Amino acid sequence: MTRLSLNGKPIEIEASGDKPLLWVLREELALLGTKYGCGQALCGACTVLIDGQSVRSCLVPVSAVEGREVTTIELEPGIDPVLDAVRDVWAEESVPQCGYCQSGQIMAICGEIKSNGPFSDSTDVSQRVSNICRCGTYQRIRKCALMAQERCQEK
Amino acid sequence: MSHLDLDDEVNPEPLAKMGRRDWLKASVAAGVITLLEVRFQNPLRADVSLQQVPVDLWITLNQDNDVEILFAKAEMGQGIWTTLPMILIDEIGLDPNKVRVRQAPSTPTYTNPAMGLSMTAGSTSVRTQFPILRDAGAKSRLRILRAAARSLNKNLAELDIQNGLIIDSTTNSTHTLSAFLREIDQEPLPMEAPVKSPSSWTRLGKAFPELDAREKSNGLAVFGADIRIKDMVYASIIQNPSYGSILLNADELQSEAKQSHFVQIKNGFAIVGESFWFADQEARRLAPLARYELHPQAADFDNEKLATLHREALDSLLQNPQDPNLEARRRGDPEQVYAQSENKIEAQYSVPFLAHLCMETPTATARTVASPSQPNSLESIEVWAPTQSALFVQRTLAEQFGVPSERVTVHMTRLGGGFGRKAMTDYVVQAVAIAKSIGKPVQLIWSREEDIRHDHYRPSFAARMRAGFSQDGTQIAILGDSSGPSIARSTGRPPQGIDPASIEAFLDDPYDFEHKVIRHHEIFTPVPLGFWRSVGASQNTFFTECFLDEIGFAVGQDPVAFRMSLLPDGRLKNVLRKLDEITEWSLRQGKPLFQNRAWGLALYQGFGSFVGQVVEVSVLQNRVRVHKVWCVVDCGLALNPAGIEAQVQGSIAYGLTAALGHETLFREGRCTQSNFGDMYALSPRDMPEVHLTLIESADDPGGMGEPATPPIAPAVANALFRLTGRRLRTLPLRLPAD
Repeated sequence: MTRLSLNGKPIEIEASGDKPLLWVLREELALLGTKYGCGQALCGACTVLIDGQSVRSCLVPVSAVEGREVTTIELEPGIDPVLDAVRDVWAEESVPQCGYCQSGQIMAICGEIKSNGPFSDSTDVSQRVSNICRCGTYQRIRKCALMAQERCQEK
Repeated sequence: MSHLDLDDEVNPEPLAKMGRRDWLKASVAAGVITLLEVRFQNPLRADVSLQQVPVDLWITLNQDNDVEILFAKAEMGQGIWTTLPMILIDEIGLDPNKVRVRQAPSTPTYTNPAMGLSMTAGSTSVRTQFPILRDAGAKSRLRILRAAARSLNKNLAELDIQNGLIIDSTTNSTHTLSAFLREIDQEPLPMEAPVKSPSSWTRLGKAFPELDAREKSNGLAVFGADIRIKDMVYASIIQNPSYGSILLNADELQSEAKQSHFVQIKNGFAIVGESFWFADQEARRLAPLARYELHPQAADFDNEKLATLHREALDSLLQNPQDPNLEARRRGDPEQVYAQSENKIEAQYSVPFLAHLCMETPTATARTVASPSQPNSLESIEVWAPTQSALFVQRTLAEQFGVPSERVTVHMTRLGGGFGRKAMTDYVVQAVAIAKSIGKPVQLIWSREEDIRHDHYRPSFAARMRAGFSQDGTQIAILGDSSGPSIARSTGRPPQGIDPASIEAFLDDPYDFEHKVIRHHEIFTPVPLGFWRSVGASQNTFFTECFLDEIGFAVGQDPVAFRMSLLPDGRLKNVLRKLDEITEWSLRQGKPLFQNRAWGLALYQGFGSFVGQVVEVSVLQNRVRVHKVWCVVDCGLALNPAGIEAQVQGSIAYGLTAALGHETLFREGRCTQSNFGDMYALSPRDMPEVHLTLIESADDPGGMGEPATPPIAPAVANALFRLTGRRLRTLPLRLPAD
C-alpha cells in the first residue's frame, strides 16, 4: 500500500510497490495524460512532478513516492500558476502538433522553473528541457516557455 | 474527470452529442440534422455510384445551435483537423470557437474495391480537399440561407451568415441557425453555389490557433493507448526477429510463462495481462529464452552485406550501360557529351535505412466476436487504432480474418506521430489475432524496442553521380546511377520496371539539364520497407543538391548563381531569388558574419510546393551544429500560415534527425538497436532557429507536410564543405576525427 498526495488529494495505491508510477497513473487511476514513450527514462513523455521536481515516471516504482506530492498534467486549473500559464500559452500559440509528448514537455518545463529557477533565454530552455519531440515543436516550445514564464512574472 | 462512464466504452474526449449508435441517423426529430456530407474521392469506376463512396466528413447542427464537424481523416500533428474544418467554417460563416471538431466515431463500411483507399499521406489533404470543401461549404451556406429566407419571407440578398449567426440586414436582427433546423433539413443542397473570394475570408490566410490545441495541452487528447473498453486486457508482444524467422520453442516458452497468459501469433508471441506493465515485464523475461530459425536471406544480411549489394548494383549499372530496363529518364545525349567533356567529376553517395520513431509506439485495441456457427472464425471485428487509413485497415482485417467488411468497424484515434509508419496495418492485425485467440478485448502496445526493431524503414540508397562539363561550365552532361530496394515490392505491389518512389526527385526538373540520364538498379534485402516523410525525395534530393553543389564548385561558380543559371523562370527560381534577398547571400558571397561558421544551400520542389533553404553551421568538438535555417516557401494560397510554419519547423527537424545522427543498423537481418539510447532522435539543443518566409501567392494550395524535409540534409552537407573543405557524402553526416 502506498500513500501519497496526487494533484493535491491524498490517495492510497494498492498496486505492487515496484510497479512504475507511470503505469499506476494510467492503469489504476485513469489519468491518461501522462504517456509511455520509451520505458527507459530517455524521452520524457512520462514526466510528472514529484515534490515539485520533474521526474520521468516510467522508472519510478510507486513505492518510492510514499508520502510525496505527485503532480500530473491533469492538475485542476487555479492551483499552480506556472502550470496554468504554460497550458494557456501552449493552447493559444498552438505549440503541440500531434500532442503526444506535450504533457511531458509541459511538466518538465514547470519542474525546471520551480526547482532550478526561471529560464534565461531560449537556449537555456533547450539545455534544461531535453524531452524528445518527433514532430519538431522545439522552436515553439522554447519561445512559449519564455512567454509563459513572463506571464507568471507579470502577475 | 472519470473516464469510465460511457456505455461500455470509454473515451475521455466526449463524443459527438449524438450517441454512438445513432450518429448516422440524424433527423429533426432527434434534434440534430446533417448539414453536409463530404466525400473526398469520386468513385473510380462509372458503374459505382457516389453514394457508395465513403463519407470523409460530416457537419451537423443541433437544436442548441451547436455545430460539429466529424472527421474520418487522420490527424497526426499536421493540423488537418484544423485547416480543413477552417475552410468550411470560413466559407459557411461559422464561429470557430463554437464549432467542435470530432473524430468520426466509426468509419463507414468500405464496400467496393474500386473505391481506392483514402489514406492520409503524401501531403495531399489540403491541396486535394481545398476545392472540394470550399464548394461544399458554399453549397451549405446557400442551403441555410435559402431555408432562412423562405421562413422569414425575405430575399436571399438581405441575409448573411457571420460568426455562426444569420444576419438580417434589413432589420439588423440576428437568428441562430438552429431556429431554422426544420427548414434547413427540408431544403435540398444546391447543385451549385459561388465560393467566396480570398479577400472575403475572415480567418483563412491569417494566423489562427489549432482547434484542438487546448486538449493537447491539458492531457485530455485521446490517443490509441488511452482507449478503455469494458473487460479489456493488455498485451505486450515480442515479434520474431527478422524476415522469415520461425519461433522454435513456443511450447517451452508457454510452460515457462506459468502464471501469465502466453499467446502465439503468426510472427511472434504476446503476453496478455490485466496490466500492460506486468505483461511487458513477463514478455521481456521470456524473450531471451526464445529460439529462432532464421531465414537464410535474413541470416546473411548485415551492414556489410548492404554495402556489398549497393556496390554490386552500381557496378552493374556501369557494366551494362545499354540495358533499357535500368534506365528511368533520359534527355539529350549525356554519354556522348560526358565522354567528350574537358572536365569530369564523379562522386558516390549513400544513405542508411531510417526508422520513423513516432513518439506514440504502434498500438491497437481490438474486440472480436466469435462466429456462432463456424469454429475458429469471427463474426465481427471492432478496432480502435491510430492509423493513416481506416479503410485500408478495414479491408486488411476483412481479408485476413474472412469477415465481411460491413462487420469490421474501425475507429480511428488521433495519431501520436505518423510520418508514414502508421499507413501500415501490422499492429492492428496483431491486436485482432490476439483478441481472437483469447476471446477478450485486448489493447496491444508495442514497446519502444519493438517499434525500433520492427519498423517499415525508409530504404537505404546509394548513388554514383557523374558530370562532364566544358571549361567555362557550360555543356553539362549529368549521369545519375542509383541503387536501393523497392518500397512497392516490400509492401506487396511489385513494380513494373523501376519503382517510381526510388527515383522521384532524382535530378528532376525543373533543373534544365540538356543532357542527363537517370538509371537505377534494384537491390533485394530482407528489411521491411515503408514510406518515410517525403519518401523518395528524402534521399534523392540529398544526392541531387549535393552533387549540384559539387559541379558548381568545380566550374568555379557560387551556389546561388550556379542554380540560377540552371533554373528556368518559374516558382522555384523565384524562391531562390527570395532566399538570396533575405540572406543577402550574393552580397555576402555566401558567407555568414561569424568566421567559424558557413552557409549551405539546397532547393526542392514537390507535393505542389516550392522550398529553398540556407543553413548556417559550425563545428564544435567534431559535432555539427546547425544554428539557423532560412526557409523560403511558395505553397500557393497559405490557408493556415501558423500551421504551415509548424510544418516547416517540424519537417526540418525530422530531416535533421537523418542528417545529424540517425541510422538503422542490421545484423542477421534484424535491427540491432533498441531505444533512444542507441538510436538518435533530434534533441532540443540540436534544433536551429528557423526563419520562414512565405511567398504570397494566389496559386492553388500545395502540400506542406513533407516538402521542407528533403533540402535540409544537403544544405547542411553543402555548408560543411564550405566550412571544412570536405565533402561528406553519407548520412548521417560525420566528421572524420583528426
